[in-house]
Amino acid sequence: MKKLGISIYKEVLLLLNDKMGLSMMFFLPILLVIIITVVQNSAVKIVNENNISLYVVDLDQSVLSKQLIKDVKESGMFSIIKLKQNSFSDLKIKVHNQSEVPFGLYIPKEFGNQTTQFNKQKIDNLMAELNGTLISKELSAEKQNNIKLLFNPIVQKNFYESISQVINTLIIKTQTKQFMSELNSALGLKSDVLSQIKWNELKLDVQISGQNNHNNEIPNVSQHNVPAWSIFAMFFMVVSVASNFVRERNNGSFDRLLTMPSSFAYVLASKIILFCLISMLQIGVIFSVSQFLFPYLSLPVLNFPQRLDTLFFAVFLCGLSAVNYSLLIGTFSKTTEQANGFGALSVIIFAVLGGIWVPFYILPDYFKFIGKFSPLYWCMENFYVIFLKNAEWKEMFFPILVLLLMNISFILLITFKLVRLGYIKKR
Amino acid sequence: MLKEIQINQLSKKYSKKSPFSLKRVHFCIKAGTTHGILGSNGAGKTTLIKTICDVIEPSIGEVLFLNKKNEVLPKKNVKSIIGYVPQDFAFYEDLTIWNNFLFFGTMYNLDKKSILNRYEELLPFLRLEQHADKKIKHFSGGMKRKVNLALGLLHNPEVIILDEPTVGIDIKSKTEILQHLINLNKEGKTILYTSHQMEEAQEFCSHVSLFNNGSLICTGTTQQVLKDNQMNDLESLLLTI
Repeated sequence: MKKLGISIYKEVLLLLNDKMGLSMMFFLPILLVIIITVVQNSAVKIVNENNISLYVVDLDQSVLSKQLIKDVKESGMFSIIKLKQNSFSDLKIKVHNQSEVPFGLYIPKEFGNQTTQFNKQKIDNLMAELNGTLISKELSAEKQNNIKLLFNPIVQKNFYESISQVINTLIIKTQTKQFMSELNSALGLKSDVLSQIKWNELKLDVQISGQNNHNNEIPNVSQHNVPAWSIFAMFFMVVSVASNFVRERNNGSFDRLLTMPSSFAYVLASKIILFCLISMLQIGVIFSVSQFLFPYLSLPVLNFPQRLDTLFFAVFLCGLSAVNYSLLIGTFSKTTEQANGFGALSVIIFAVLGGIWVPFYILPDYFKFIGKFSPLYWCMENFYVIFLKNAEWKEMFFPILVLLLMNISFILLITFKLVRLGYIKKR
Repeated sequence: MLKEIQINQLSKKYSKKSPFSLKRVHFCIKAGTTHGILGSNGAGKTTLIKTICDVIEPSIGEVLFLNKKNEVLPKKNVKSIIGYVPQDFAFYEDLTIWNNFLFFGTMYNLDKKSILNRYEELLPFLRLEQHADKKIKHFSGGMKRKVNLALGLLHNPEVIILDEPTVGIDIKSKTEILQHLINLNKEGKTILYTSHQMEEAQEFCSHVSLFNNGSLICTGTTQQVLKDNQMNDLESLLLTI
């Protein structure tokens, strides 16, 4: 125990001297978690809180066009900037040049008239069919002077497709309303009963999955981001741990230890114990920041699960995996440059494949397959259970099992290499 | 008490494809001598030293430490009587001398009091009393070399095994290190050291073993080796190999 204690003490002193390593373990992850949460929170706000800026040019100025603009505004997604008497080409240039306002809605002249005519024609056809008279020709859609939605090329495809879908729905809503009003007149109804009909009997009831999920609160961005980036931070200790391991080996300190009546196990055990504790401390600091600092940054706080035992174990297992992975990289690297480069890059790749950077479910199938070899994926699975589901042990069983198997594999590989290098004797 | 170190038919190959770094090396190192393992770069000096210290396993052969009763010492006991001083600065430069002493001393099974005693004994040799609280990374090459040596002497070993202990340092530090080793030898310590500096070795070593390409060329007392090869100095002898 004395040897283990002194080895841990030595590691603590080395770590305290490694200012860069410490900042990579504590300061940078906090910064990363804050930045990513702020960015993702802004993305959510953009969609939910009138934050998509939209230029609107209304050349029509009809009741219908005004109704459409009102509907767009009331959808709650857009912040409308009305432009007066701009031509379509002017609007095109304006949207192209200003990335802050990436969308433009152009309502041409005669939009109201044409829509009304179009609807009237439909109603005439409908009435003629009801009366058993001849059906007149439908107004050609090509003749319609369409509303145009412009988008800046910096907008990603899935985003502008969603936006165009929303606008399209609103146009159909306006048209339908007008159609109902026309139909009302055609049927000779006294009050405008048809257009007053409310279509809200069937609603989409959004619920969170899971058999026993009683808490139907939709998880905030902190629930997703804080655990994910904490895992990334834990694994990024590879840069410090692996390079120090290589440095100790290359400067002959390990050789010196071999000539002493001591076991190399003390070296490994002290590193595993200390850095496991450090990684738990990392999580503690990051989670505390998300609890106490986030409200000051207008970010949602991280909600902790009721069962803290599952959280504690998941953090411990994640830390252990990060340390063992770091030692594995350190054992197999010949130089500190190799350890730093390969270590950092491999963690980034594992983070991408493991669903830390982007949601796992959007990855292509072959990436999903490869991603399951990433320890970060299984750490994330545990955190999903804890922060987004019910934090039940039985749901964590499989990720825990896989992580334990991964840790055993890491330790076996480390031992195999250290035996080959002669630091662990076969006898 | 150690009588001798027997190196029996020692061969070492690092991998299947690599050539032998040591080829059937067979000789004896008497206790109480200053024995130089000499040769040019790549002669196998470091490999031999590391094999003797049990840092690397020999491919063939064995190293035996015999006591006065001609009994072979178990490896566990051997580790307590040897002090290894590698060529590299094998310590933690980000720590102070004391913290290095504390760590390596504990690994030698010394208690804190014994480590403190040795620290106080060795600090005057290091002449670093006023730098004791500084991290070693701020020291000069000569100072670091002395710290490297001091760490090998921490547990007061019977056999001191040094790999190029004076390489890359100024003449003053070199003289101080060699003088300290001579003093230790006078106290009865066995000193085994490698060097490619022949002049220094001839002055310092009572016995020498000359190596070339992993093979032992000659061994014996320094004077006997020179006499047998009809040479005046080791440098000329090495050039003829």
